[in-house]
Amino acid sequence: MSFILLVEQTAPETPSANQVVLYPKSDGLLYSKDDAGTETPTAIVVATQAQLEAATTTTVYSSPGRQQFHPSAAKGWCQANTVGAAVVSYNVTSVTDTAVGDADIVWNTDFSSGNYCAVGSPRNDGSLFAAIADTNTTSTQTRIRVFNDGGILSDPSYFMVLAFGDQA
Amino acid sequence: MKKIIYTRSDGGISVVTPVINTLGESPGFTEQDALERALAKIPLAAINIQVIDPFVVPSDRTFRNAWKQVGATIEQDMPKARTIAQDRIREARTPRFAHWDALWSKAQEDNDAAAMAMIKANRQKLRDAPADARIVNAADETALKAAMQAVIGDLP
Repeated sequence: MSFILLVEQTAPETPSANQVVLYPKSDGLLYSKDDAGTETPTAIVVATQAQLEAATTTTVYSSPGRQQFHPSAAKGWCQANTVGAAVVSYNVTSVTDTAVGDADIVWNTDFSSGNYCAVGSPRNDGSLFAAIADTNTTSTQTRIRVFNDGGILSDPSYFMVLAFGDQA
Repeated sequence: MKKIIYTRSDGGISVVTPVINTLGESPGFTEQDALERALAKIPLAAINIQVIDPFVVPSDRTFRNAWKQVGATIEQDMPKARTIAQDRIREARTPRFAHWDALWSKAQEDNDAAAMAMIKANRQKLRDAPADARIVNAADETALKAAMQAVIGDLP
């Protein structure tokens, strides 16, 4: 068995001209410091869920399996028809037809609270418009309500819901 | 794929369609997996949760808000369906009232008694339309839908 043992350093001295020092730090990353005193991480490190949710560090990198945890990423989305059949979707458990023009999108991974940002729309149905309902929109589901221009709940041919926020 | 129905505390019926996401699902995720996942998220207050075949759900949504759950089937609550039909007739008559109201003003200005009598009769027909006997006597959803369409078609 062979290995190179490196001892963690907090702030090693700046090396002489034309030299670089390599050293680990307490965060587990390997750093280099050049002769100008510039410190740089030497490896690509995958960001944790917490790092992505905090969205502050600039020395780790997002991976396809975790990028959805960043605040800028949509946590779930769905296009479904009136009877609840999802055409395309992500992070959806089910679509519930509750009444005319009224449907619940039940999320697979829930939000951490009921305070998140969801938007909804009917798809190209002329005079119809949609709103996210106050009641029955919770950390586990989002209710979309679609109205005609008279303010009466109406079935669209398709509707779409998209949500951003912190997940549980 | 199977669906799930249940009755809510307000008496309405919810129809749940489980979803296999087009993105982000684990390999081999099946319809049965999706059904079980959806069942696990049914609200605690749900009454009489039933797994049904999709064809059990009526395809005609004219009286969707009058659906009621009977065991593992969906039936029409006819009194509620009549109320929906009457509301549709009221919606349809609103522009007709506006039409006759405008003509009424003109007939008054012209002091046209014959026109005023005709307009008065038509406005009364509009008022009476929701209580039309064809609505009241319709025995089932099909008859009620036909009656509703006929009454709306007859609005003066």
